[in-house]
Amino acid sequence: MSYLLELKEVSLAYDDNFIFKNLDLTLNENEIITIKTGVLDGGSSLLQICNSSLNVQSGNIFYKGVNTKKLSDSQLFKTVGMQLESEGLLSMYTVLENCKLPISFHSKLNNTEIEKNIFYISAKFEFDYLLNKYPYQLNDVQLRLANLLRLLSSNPKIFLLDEIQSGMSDKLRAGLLDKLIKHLKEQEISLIMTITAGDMDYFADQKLEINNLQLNRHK
Amino acid sequence: MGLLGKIGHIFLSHVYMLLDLFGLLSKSIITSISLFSINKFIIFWQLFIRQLYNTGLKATYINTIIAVLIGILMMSLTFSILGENIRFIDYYAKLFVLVIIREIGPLISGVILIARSANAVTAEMGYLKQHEQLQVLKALRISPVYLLLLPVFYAFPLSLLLMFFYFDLVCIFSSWVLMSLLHTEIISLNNFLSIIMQQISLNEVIISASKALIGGLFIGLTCIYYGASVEPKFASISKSISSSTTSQLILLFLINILLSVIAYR
Repeated sequence: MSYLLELKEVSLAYDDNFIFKNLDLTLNENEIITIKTGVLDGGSSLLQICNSSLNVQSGNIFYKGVNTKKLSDSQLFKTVGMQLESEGLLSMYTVLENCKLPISFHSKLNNTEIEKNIFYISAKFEFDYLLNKYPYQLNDVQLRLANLLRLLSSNPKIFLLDEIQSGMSDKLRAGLLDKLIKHLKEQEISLIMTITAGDMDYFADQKLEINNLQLNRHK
Repeated sequence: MGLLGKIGHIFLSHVYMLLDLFGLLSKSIITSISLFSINKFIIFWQLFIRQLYNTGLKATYINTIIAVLIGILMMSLTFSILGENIRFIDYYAKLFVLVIIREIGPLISGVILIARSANAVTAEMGYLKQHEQLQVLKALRISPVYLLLLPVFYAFPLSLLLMFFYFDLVCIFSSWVLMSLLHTEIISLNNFLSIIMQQISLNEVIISASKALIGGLFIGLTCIYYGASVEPKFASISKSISSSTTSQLILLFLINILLSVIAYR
């Protein structure tokens, strides 16, 4: 049986410092995993590995049993997408243009169809007010939401969310998670989300944490 | 490190830079294949037009001022030597083609391109690099070469060609205006223009266009190269701009002089 996403014996090191050593991770279809992270323990790097946008020293990443090295950029874009914790948007474009760019680049949809979809998603999540803003006009939380909007508009099979809940008020967090989890279930999307102390994880099928260069079950 | 070692180090670093520039050149040509996809072409076209507007059109102002001044200088110097000579216009036309069209025009247009636009592109690229926006493109599976290099790759040579053409026209016009004031014999602008045009051979057109296209291409590649070399350190962008400007000026003069020596020996 092949998993939707599988990391096999992945090792990552910066210079001689290992972040992960022979790490394994599997994600099934429609599954939600939360990964509790601390400061500089590699949470963002792990998501980048899952996104195939960070080169590892050893190990392999598979999507539905196929090694990511064998997939084209467009295939990868339709399979997996990541919301980055900080920055993450191109400063020369507005949020709307940031959302349009990757879809336009990787698909054959015309501008009207792409915009229609973005407007629908932004209305559903009440992100409309972000669309015409440039990244420099947004605060940290809004930047993460704009990143999420781009990911929602791109609609890959796997969502990777990097500390999306950080800095949010309880009300905003609860409202966003409620809508997000409902959307993921409707669209049959799987999710890996890194969380920190105080973040919610009631929706997770698996709760993991980074410990001793490995992923362990979080109690 | 001794003096010899330092010279060797500088020489090698320039050789590596040239090899990298040729690498970027081949990468740009390969990536250009993507332009056949409609959606990708639309993305490219918007960035290309923006770059052409910033590089070519917005330089009109400074280009006009310098071209007017050079035209006035050329005419006043020639007039001070030849005076009311009967074959003044023929001599002037020959001199104009020799000095302005062959050499000064491409060089000054290139210097304007470097000072106005290439530095701006290096700074923009450096900003994107320092703010990890190249990583964003990687995460979105969009080649930075496509989005950031290709518009510059095509816009810079075209801009330089247009700037050079415009520079020559303004130079001709300003020298005609001064000649009309200095010379007792009145010559129409059309006549003046056609006498100069008669002096321009096909060879000159090809060489001057080559100078603009090759010069623009390497100026564009160099600013992207140095912009992408920026590190997350204070003053790294200004250091890159400084190195980029130095390399671009050397390349511009080298290309211009080399082509002139080959073509007009």
